[in-house]
Amino acid sequence: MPVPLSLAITLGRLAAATSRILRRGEGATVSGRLILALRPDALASLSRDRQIILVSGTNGKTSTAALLRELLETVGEVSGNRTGANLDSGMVAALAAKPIHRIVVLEVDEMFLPEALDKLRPEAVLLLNLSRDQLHRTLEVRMVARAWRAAIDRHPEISVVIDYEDPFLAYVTRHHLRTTRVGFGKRMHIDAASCPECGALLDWGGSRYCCQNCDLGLQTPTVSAQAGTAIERNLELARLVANSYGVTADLVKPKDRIVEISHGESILNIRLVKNPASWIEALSALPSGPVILIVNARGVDGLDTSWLWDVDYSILRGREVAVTGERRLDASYRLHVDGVKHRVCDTLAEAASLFNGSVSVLASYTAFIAITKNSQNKVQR
Amino acid sequence: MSESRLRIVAVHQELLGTYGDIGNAKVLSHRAMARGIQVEVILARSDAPLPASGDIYLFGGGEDSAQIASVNSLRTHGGATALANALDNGAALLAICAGLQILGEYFPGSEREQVSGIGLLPLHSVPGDKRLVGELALNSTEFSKPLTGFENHRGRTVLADGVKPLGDVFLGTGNGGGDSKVDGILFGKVVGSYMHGPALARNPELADHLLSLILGGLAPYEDQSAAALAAERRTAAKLLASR
Repeated sequence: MPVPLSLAITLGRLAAATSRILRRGEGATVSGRLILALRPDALASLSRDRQIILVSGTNGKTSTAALLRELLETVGEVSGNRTGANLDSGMVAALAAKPIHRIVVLEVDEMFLPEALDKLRPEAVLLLNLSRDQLHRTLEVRMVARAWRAAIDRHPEISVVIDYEDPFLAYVTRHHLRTTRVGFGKRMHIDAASCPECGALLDWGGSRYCCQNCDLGLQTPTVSAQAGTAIERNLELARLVANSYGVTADLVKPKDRIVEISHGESILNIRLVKNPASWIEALSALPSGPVILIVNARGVDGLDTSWLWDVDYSILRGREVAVTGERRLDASYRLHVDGVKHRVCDTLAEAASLFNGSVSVLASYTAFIAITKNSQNKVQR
Repeated sequence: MSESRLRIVAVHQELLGTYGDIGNAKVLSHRAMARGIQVEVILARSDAPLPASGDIYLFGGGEDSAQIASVNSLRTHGGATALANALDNGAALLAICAGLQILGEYFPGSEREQVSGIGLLPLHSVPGDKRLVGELALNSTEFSKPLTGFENHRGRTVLADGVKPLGDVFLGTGNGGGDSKVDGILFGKVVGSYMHGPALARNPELADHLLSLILGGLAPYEDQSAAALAAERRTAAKLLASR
């Protein structure tokens, strides 16, 4: 006989509390895993009679889900996986966490989205973007897009909001009637030279991409909005989702995932960058001042550094630049070939001590987590 | 070299550029220009014929559908003949991963079906069970030091009898076809490998080998940054191989 769901949840909460006491983290993953082990049907059971909204995409999931929750909280209380644990265990933990609210905003890992759609039966799904990320793990962008489309097509009842300037999202939702296609104006996509649908070359010469073979990109956007930085576009998408829940409030400032740490005379503004698309976005939005790049290549960073060559670093020429991280020599040679003078440093502390004032730090995932988890130790002189 | 400048042709980057493959064109340019040689990089798109007068042709890696689109383009635009003529006239060619597969007799499509390549190289590729992902390193008699890279492919490549591989693999899999543990191909002025993406960034000796196929003896050039990266990756490969 299966364990009652309520008992499984109690045990899960106990595990999370233990994990917190032992300072092993927030405990969401541990708690979720235990609940799922005892009750494999927990995702479906815990989402019944609730209003679930999913947020997925390669970049911006955590910050956009936070914006969406903030908007929705102007009309009611909202649950969610705030720590960014975005696999089944993290979602189960968020659904089981007290207090239990009817509205739930969950960010979902790209690979897990199809299963999440089937099990959670969300009302709405916000799809931000799709580009290559950790190729050793997520396979190829086109395979992910195919899996998304099959899953979306299984659920015609779900409202979907997409950034239509991403050809992969246009492909994913091509036959889905309840799609809000938001047009921001043409924006190049690093992985979409050829059509996700038919493989023919996309024509990027007009006001937006368009496939001359199968007409992908010829649907008129449902809504047109102003372009801007990634986080501003994502706020606009979140606002559109929130509007359908009666939200009329506005958020003035979109929040980026930047962590400030003071280090001697300088302030380090640390920003997470995790794949070519987010590097390009981060480099284009750099404030003036010195720049430190931290490149690692373990686990979630992607084991392979070849993506460094898909990013143009010439924008950094003439600036004060330092590189560090486990793969600093890969980054160093890449900058060298792009004519960017820089220093190579063994540690972030060493790099930070080269500069004064406000310093922009672009950090790979594992580096970002390590620094922000224990900033005291990491940047002491 | 046909003119006063070295002409590097990056073939179908929009299809065969999934893993930073453009890096190979950048590295070749950088090392040639450091020796005072003028360089022109030509991005040969798949909606037009290949330029016939290139000195070094670069084929990169790509996804299944892109790989097939690329081979279709070569077929439509007489690419096989153009490449064969260019090689006859002394051009060199670097073929990586998917680019290596399409230049052979046949290769696997996304449903494991057999797709015809352009038959320029004496090899064929077949589907494998497991995707091969990780560091790849080889010893080659042509080079003084080991070559290192990162492989990420499902297809396995089989060389025709007597055809020389690029090197003997001591970390990772490489071609994965047949019994011997080898990677790539050395065939006239063609170099092929599963060291994907910007393989030349980690292997300056291999980059110079391609340049010397066109330019002959090269002026010495020691790039500290390139040498440091290559040495670090060789050390990492030896460490991984010893585990």
